[in-house]
Amino acid sequence: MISLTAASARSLQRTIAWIVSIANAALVVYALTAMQPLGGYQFVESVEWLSDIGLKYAVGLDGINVWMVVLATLLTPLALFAARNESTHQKSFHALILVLSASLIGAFVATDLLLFYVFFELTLVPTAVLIATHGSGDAKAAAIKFFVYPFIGSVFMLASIAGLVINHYQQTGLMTFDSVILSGAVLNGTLVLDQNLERALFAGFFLAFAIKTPIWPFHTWMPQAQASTPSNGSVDIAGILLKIGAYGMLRFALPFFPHAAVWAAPAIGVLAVISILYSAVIAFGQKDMKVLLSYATISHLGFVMLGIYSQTVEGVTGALITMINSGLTTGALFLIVGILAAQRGSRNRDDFSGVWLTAPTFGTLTLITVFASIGVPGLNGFVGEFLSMQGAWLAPQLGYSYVVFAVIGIVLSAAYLLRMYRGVFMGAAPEENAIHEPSTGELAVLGLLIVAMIVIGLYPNIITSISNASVTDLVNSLNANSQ
Amino acid sequence: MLDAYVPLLAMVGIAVFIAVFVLSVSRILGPQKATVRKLAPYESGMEPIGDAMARFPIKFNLVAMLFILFDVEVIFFFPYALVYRQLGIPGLIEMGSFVLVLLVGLTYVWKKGALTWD
Amino acid sequence: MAQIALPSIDYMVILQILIIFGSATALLLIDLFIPANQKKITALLALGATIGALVAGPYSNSGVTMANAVAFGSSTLIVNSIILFATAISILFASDAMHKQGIERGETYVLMLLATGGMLLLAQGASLITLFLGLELLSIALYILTAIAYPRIASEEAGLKYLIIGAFGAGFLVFGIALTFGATGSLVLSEIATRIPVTGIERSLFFTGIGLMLVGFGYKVSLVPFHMWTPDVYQGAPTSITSFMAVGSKVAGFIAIIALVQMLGAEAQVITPVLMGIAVLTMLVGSIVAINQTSLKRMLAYSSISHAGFVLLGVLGSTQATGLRAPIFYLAAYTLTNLAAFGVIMVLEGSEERDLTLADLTGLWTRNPWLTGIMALALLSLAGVPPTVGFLGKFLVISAVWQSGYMWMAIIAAFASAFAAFFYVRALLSMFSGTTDRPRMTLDARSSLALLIVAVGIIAVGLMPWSINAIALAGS
Repeated sequence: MISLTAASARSLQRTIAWIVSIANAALVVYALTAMQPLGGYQFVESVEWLSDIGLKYAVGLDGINVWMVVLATLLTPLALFAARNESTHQKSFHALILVLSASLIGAFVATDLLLFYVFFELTLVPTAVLIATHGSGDAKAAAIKFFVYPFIGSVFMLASIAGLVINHYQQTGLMTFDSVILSGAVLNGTLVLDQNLERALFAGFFLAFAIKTPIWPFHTWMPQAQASTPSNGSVDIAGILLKIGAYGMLRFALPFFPHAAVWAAPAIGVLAVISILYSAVIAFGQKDMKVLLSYATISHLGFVMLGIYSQTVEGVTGALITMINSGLTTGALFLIVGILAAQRGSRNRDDFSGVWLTAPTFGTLTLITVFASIGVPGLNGFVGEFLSMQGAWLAPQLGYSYVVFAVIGIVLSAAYLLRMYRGVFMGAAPEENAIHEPSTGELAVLGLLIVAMIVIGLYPNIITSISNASVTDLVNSLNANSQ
Repeated sequence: MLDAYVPLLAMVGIAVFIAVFVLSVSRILGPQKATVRKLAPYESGMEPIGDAMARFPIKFNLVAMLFILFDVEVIFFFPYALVYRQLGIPGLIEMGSFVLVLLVGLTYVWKKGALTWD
Repeated sequence: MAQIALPSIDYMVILQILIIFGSATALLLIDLFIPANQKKITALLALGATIGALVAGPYSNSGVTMANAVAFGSSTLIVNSIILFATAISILFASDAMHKQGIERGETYVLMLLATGGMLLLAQGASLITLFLGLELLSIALYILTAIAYPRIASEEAGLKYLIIGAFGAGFLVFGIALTFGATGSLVLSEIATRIPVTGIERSLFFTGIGLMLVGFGYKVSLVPFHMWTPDVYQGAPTSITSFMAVGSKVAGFIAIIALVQMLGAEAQVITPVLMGIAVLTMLVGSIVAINQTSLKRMLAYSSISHAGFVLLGVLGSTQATGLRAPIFYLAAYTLTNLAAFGVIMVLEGSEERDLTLADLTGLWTRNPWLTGIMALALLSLAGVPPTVGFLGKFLVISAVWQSGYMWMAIIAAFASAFAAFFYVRALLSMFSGTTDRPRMTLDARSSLALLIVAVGIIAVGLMPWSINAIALAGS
């Protein structure tokens, strides 16, 4: 799958980009239907790579990362769709989106730690180049910040990886980066880390993932990057693919360092809650709708962190669903802002009013999306946030006080999103240059996304039936360890 | 192992002592009556002519450099001259290849025109 | 009179050295009869000699010869191959760029071969005298090469500066050799290793000697605080020479340092703390000062200083049973990457003599995508971003250091490389952003070939299992 994408990334034709992304999506859907609802990895491929240092090209899917892959493959065509009118650098754009998509999928499916790291860093390159080539304003500065900030985090993770693997080697005599072996060794006690060392190594992983996620106070690269990217939202949609931060926490940071994770959970919970509240407050004051949405993303990821660090089945499932939601809902919102910006040439919410009057269908679809993002029951956002908070409440290391503040965050998100909606879609339509209905194609794509939102909202089992076994396994191993 | 260097150290000490001693004694005991003649730079008894910093053609430099290059090589021939019988044929070959390399250098210099004065 | 037996010589041990020196001498003669506008024939012959030596590598005998002065082993094979590869690529670069700039001379290639011979001597040296000879041969050829862009003032100035600093460094080296010889009574590395004095003034003298030798080599590989010459010389020298110098003399110098550290064996712990400090300083100073540079060549010069710190760290991490894999792999990575980076700068200079700045990279993407791609690869590899060869090198060094128990060093190394990422990325993204009114550019066949080879190398060596395994075999 990856090799397919990577190979054709060099093909510069737009049609090929489309074919590849859709073929990928089809492959993933096939994988999804063929998944067994069991724990452990399926579709495992493992090839010795640098055998001398124990590096393998090992990939596999389980109930958790399969959803990440689904998200990545579905959003790739969406980003291509948003950018279909992009005139400059057409070819490079498609190639870069495909490279990004390939490296993301690679990062999600990698079960070898170093292989994961390779893909993890590789995602920076195409995205930074996308921002630099397609951005507006001080795009270069934004791109540098986008690259360097997460890169700083990830080199510390590299040092931590080296430390973990070498400790494993010294204690067991086996040089390997296989995450299954490593977390297994932690679980059954063949790898025992000194308390301080464990916390130091955990800090390296945490820093990398926290910057990437991002959560407060490591988030400053994100709004700037978003402000400088092109208005049509294509790059942002690609950008919200960057769920690797949260995914990495769940997949690597927790199982490798369970004690340190429990130790740090209250502090991280506080950071997550600050993320939720802080970004909600900031979003309230934003006029640029794209920047507003980027703060909304940070807010969502606060819930994800809360769910992950609750280390309960409910919380982790909630985090997983929230990650998918954030991709779907915020992706749709970026598309909407892109459509608006294309017609008006501005992303400032004050430049719009009364869109509903001239484009009612568009207005309805947007309203549903906004509701989904706020977390109205019956739509997808509710399920994820509710489960995350339930997990946090149940978790001994977190508790209800975190949830209280998180709920305030939801209220605030309703406030800023509805305010934006009211300002843009309600009120009197301008005399001239009124926003007209977008094309049927655009409406259809939005409609599809909304169908997905409703399906997840009404029937979350579609996700949990596949993910449940893996999540339960993961949580059980964490709890067995941290006692 | 360092004991072997003790005589060397003694010799250095004696040499420094004699130099310092002779100079300071003549400084202290000798009469010091400066005249114009005495203060003039010593140039083998000749009257000093012109500026010491005078410029002269770069060609001299080139010749001097080439001379040193080929002259230093000659140093290798003196020890070789003493032991060439003991070294036998292998030594002859070694020395021959050495001269050959020198010849390449000479040819280069010649062909580049460094040996023509004008 | 008794016959004096000359030390026996196994010519197969010094095969590569013989090919290089022999063809250098012959080429000096042949070049006399090649007209000035046909110097690419000389380049072609020099290239042939280099490739010949490269091919001859696997046929050489392992062992020690010439009265323990020269050795050849599996790790020497790797190092020699790196050096000869760098020379071959540099000859291709020089032949293109110097011709364009009107400063092509036949002597350039002869001197490059002689410098290469010096590097090979350093790599194969098994006695202090050989090491000194190699270093001097390498240095003198490089002094001339630096100043070869006559009558360009910057080039002459750089040559003079390099000569004076280099002579200074060589002085340290000779003094160190003298003290070491005095303390142990031998010049052969393997003999010295068995005679390291355990007590008394001899021991102090011995380690003073080792320290002075390391200073001498430290100048060559530009460790802080012996790095001051590097930016000026890199900037002033013709770019094709800069790439040769940056790569070759660093590889050769480090091999000599590795030989010294290995010779010390367990005693190396006496100097390890000092070298650790130097490595940290080198990494940090290189990375931090580079941030402020606008000249591309100066930036790469500081980057090369920073990388020298990494290699030194790898050398220190390797004294403990992990083998030489990390530093040698890092050097190979460094070679490929810097050849690519300097190569692109050289192509960009074209026939101009200007010192390129960051601003010259702006909009390169629209002028030549392939060139941009290669430069991007090189910069990513310098920053250590996967899947390039630079990443694997960095990772190997960090894990080697960690494995030897210097956890803090690994963390500082991570820190330094995070710092360094900033200016690499700034240069990288400059190429993709902005527009330029300069025309598209086309490439000469020689440069294209050379750049293509190194670009493929950056990816392939970073991904292919054979690369690291081959070096691991040679590692001990």
